[in-house]
Amino acid sequence: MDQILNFFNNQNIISLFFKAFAICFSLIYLFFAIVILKQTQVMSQTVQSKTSSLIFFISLIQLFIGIALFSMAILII
Amino acid sequence: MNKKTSHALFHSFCVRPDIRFEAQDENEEVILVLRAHPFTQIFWIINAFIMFLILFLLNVVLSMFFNSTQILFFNFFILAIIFSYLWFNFLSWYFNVGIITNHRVVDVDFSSIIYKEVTYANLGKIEDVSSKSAGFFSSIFNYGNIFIQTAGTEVNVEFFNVPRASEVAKIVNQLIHS
Repeated sequence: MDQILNFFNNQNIISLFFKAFAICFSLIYLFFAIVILKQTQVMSQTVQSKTSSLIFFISLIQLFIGIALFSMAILII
Repeated sequence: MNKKTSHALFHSFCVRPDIRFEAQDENEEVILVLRAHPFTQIFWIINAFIMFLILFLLNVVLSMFFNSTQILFFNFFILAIIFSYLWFNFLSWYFNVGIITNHRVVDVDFSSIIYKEVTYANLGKIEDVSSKSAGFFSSIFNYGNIFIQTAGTEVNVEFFNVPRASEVAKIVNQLIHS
C-alpha cells in the first residue's frame, strides 16, 4: 500500500501517462501477435510447405516479444 | 514443361515445388506456384527502413523528456512494431499464391491476413487465358497480370504482378490442351 502511495506521490504526470500508454499499447500489440500466430496456422494449413514450421516459429517469437513488452510495461516502467 | 523442381526469383516462380494446398486431390500434381514479383514488395521494405531512421532521430528528442528506462521501452516497442510490419507484409506476400496443377488453377488470397479467399478453376472450364504487362518496371523486371476466364457464371481467376506472365499463360494453355 505504501509503495502504491509512494508511486503516485513521486512520479510526475508524464511518467504516469507514459506507463498507462505503455500498458495499453503493449496489450494491443500482444493481441495482434496472438491473432497473427493463429492466422499463421490457418495460412499454413491452406498452403503447406517445408517452411511452415519456421514461419510458425517466427510468429511465436513475435508473441514472446509481445509478452516481454507487456511485462516490461507492467513491471519495469 | 520442365519436370525438374526449381525456385526462381526468391520463390515467386516455383516449378513443381514441394507444396500442398488444402483441397488438393490425391492424384493432383502441383505444376507451378506463383507469387508477386519481389520488386513489387520493395515499398514496404523501404517503409520499414524509413521507420527505423525516424526512430533513430526520435531518440535525440526523447532524451529531453523521458528517463533511460522509458526510452529503452520506447525503442523496444517501436522495433517490435517495425518487425511486425515487416512480418505482416512478408506473410501477406508469401501466402498470396497462384497455384497451377494438372487439374485446375487455384488462387489463394489472404486480404490483410485475416480474410481468406480461395478460388478454383478446373482446366476444362477455362475459356481464355490472357497476360498483361504494362509499365516501365514491369517491362524491366518481366512481371505482369494473368487473367483466366472461365465459362458462364464460374468465377474468373486473376494473378497480379507475377513473374514471366507470358510464360505462365503459355503453360496454362499447354495444360488446357494436353
